[in-house]
Order: sequence, then structure tokens, then C-alpha cells
Amino acid sequence: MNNFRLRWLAAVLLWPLAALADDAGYRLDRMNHALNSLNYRGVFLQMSDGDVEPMQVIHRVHDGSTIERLVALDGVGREIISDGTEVVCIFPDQRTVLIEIRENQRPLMGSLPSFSDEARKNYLITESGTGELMGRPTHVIDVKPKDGYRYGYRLWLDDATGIPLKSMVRDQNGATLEQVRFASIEFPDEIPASAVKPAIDLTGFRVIKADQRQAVANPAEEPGWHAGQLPSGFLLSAYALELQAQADQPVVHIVYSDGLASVSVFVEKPRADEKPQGGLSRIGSAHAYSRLVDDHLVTAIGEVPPVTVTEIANSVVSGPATQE
Amino acid sequence: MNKAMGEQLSAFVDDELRVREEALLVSRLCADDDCREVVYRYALMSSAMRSQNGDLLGAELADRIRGEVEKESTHHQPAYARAGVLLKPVAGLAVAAGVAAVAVLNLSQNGADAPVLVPDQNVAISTPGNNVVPVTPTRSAEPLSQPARLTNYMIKHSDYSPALTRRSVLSEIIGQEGEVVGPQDPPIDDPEVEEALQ
Repeated sequence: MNNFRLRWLAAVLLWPLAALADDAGYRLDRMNHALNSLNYRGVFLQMSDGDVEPMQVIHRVHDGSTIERLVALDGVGREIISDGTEVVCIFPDQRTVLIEIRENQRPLMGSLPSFSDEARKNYLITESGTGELMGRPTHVIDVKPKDGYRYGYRLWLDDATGIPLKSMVRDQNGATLEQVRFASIEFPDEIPASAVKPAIDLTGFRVIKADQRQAVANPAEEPGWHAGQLPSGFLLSAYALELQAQADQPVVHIVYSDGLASVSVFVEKPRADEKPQGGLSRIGSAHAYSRLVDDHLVTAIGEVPPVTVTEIANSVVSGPATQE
Repeated sequence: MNKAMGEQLSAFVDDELRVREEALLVSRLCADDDCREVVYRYALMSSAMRSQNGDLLGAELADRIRGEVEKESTHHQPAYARAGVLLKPVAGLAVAAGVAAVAVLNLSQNGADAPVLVPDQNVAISTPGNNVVPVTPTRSAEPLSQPARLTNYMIKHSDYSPALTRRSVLSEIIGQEGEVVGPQDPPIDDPEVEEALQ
């Protein structure tokens, strides 16, 4: 009876927290929907490690399809234009255009997973209060990792639209690793097609179209490579073979996800005249770790702490996962 | 950049500015005509701190800037740096050069008649939104660098990234200061890599 009373008391006391978490989850799902379904354009600052990058984003929804143009405002005007089928990277300083085919045709910016039960196993999601940015009321949502294998987020979500006006990537201790903050944003009813076209003339540019990809239907049964030991919460979510020029064989691309963060593992055999480098690398808040396994270069890469990519890469072996 | 601006940016990164101060800073950075110059100067200061571009500046100015930014960096070392993880920086332009290198190698592997690229003359590529852009492909042969490989990987990985970090990663790639920070040498603590790379 005492146990029953204690459980009842705990349920009553914790109910408000659970309700807040559900509300926060609702707001995050709303954010996902807003990111993908609204017309918006604005300028945001991306700050990490002392660097500040001003960027312009134009997100156009037309006839049910989305297209987004991301432009670096500082420097030579590099830009990325992407939709559900392609990612086009334009590097004016290199006079190069890189076109990457998107295999899954997944929603462009709605790929932040819904905060399902799977994600909640690894993250604590709470609503931390309200605020105001650019004169717009916001709700502040915290997504805290439950261990050191993943990063968390603090998000300022626009009350009117659900769009994140400001976001922080934070480590397990709450230290800010990266911040993205809109300086201006508007939500027009229509965005003209011309707004998502390249700003520069691409005549004479070198073009790379990396569209040689073969998805594997049953990744768990794929005999090639796998991570023998994964950090808690990470599960296999995709397996693909991608043709790479520098290798005689396709590059294996394996994706592991914890419901929110994802880590890609690439396995390729370097050319004979190559001297690939191993060890830890960083791109913004993402990390990569490379090592050689049976003459193959194994690289784990993702927006996760160094320990996560290191442990995953160190556990990669050849052979089917089902044999483990 | 003056000290006050640097301190404001530092506080901005740490989310220590009050709403009104933050709005003023953002407004100053992006809404006026000096936005690009201010941000570019700040980026130069950061580069100077990492000894990337210090030689481009006058020695006295570079020292002064380095000292100023070092003071800021004391408060802003990311977690991996505080943890003592050794990461050697690679110049930011290597990212774009790397993409070019990947391109060259792709072409070389697939051959002149590969469907990925029309070998000569102007061709039309379709960018999202049915933009038709005339381009002229070229080819050469260069070794693939680690920044090139990682840049290529990141673009591929972005297809599976969460929305917020995906945009950040792509921004890093196209940003003026976008860079891959990685080791020049195999890690000392991984004898397997060292031995294999001999």
C-alpha cells in the first residue's frame, strides 16, 4: 500500500514535468514541419570557435516541393542549392560545381527526426522558458544528451511559426560549441523561383556529379563491413555503396543513428599512390576519425563528440553484422 | 575590431548578452554597410590566433591582434580543446581545393564516356528548381587530400544529418573561414595506423 501511495505521489508530482516534456516534443515536431513547409528567407550568423560566418538562407516551397539556397555572405560567394533530389555546391573560387544526388529524396530541412520514444531514450527534452528575439516571442527548448556520446541543443522557437530563430549545439556539460542566430527573417507568401537560382554565371565551371550510389535493401544482412561495437542508443539505419574515383571498389557508406544524431562510416581502399591520414579531424561541430583496417581506410564522421566517432571507427571490421 | 566588439562577440557566443544588447550586436554585424568588413576582420583575428594568416599582417599588428584574440580564446576553448585533443588546422581553402581534387579523381575513374559528365563542350546541368546552367567541364589529376576526402564525406553525410546541424555543416563548407581541422600526421597513440602508413 505504501508503495502504491508512493507511486501515486510520484506520478502526481512528475506529471507536470511529463506534460512539459510532451509540450516540448510537440514544439520540436512543429519545428520540423515548419522548417520544411514554410516559405522563409533571412540572414543568420553562424558562430563557432571564435569564427563568425554570415549566411543567407532562402527556403522556397512551391507545388509541394521545397528548395533551399544557402549563400555565404562573406568572401567569394560560395553557395549550396538543394532540394529533395540534389545538392549543388558552387565554389566560385575554385570555379567548381559539385552535384550530389540525394538518394532518399527526404524532406530537405525536415530531416531532424521526430522526437520519438527512440530519441527520448538518449535525450532529455524540456521546455526552459520563454524569450523574445527580433521582437518575436519564443519558447526555449532544451534537448540534453544523457551521456557523452552525443550533443544537445538549446533552441529558441518562434511562437508564431515554429522556426528556430536561434540554436546552440552544446556538449553534455552544457558548454556551447556552436551557435546559429538569425539576424533577420521574413515569411513571404511566395518566393520567386529566381531567388533560389545561383547568383553567378557558371559558364566554364568544372562540374562534378557524384551520382553513382546503390542503396542496399537489407543493410543488416550486408556482408561487407560493420561496426562491431556501437555507443549506447546507436543503431544501423542505412547502408549504401557509392562509386569513388580514387578506389577500385565502391565506397561503403554505413549510417548509424540514435534517433537524433547520426554517424556515417565510410570504408574505401585508397589508391596505391595515396598516403591517407589517420586520426581525428573536425568540421564545425562535426568530428571525423580515420584509421586503416585491412588496407582499407575507415572513417567515422558525424555531428557528435570525438569519442563517438573514435569508438565507432575503432570497432569497424569486415564481415556481416549478423555474425557478431 | 575593438576590444568592446570582441567582448560582445565573446558574450554572444556564450549567450551572456541581454536581449537588447544581443539585438544591437546582431544589428551592427549584419544590418549596416560595415557588416562584411567587421566579420572579415574578426575572422582574420581568429586566423591570426591559429597562426594561419599571421604572416599576412604587419608583425606588430599581428602580435597585437593575436594577443587580443588569445585573451578571448581563453574563455572560448571548445570542449575538445579543453580535453587536450590535438587537432592541427588545415587552411580553409583546402576545403574547396579538396572538392576540386575529388572532382578530378571522379572524372579520372569514370572515363570520358561516363554518364556523370559530358567530356567536352558546354553542357547544361540541371540544378534544383530546373535552373539550366551552361558549364564546361575540365579535368586534371591531383592526389586526394584528407580535407578533400572529408569534405566529400561531409556532403554525403549531410543527407542523413539532423536539420539544424546539417545546415551548420553545409555552412562550414561554403563559409569563407570554413575549414577542416585535422591531423597532419597519424595519431601517435594508434600504432596500427602508423605502421600501415609507413
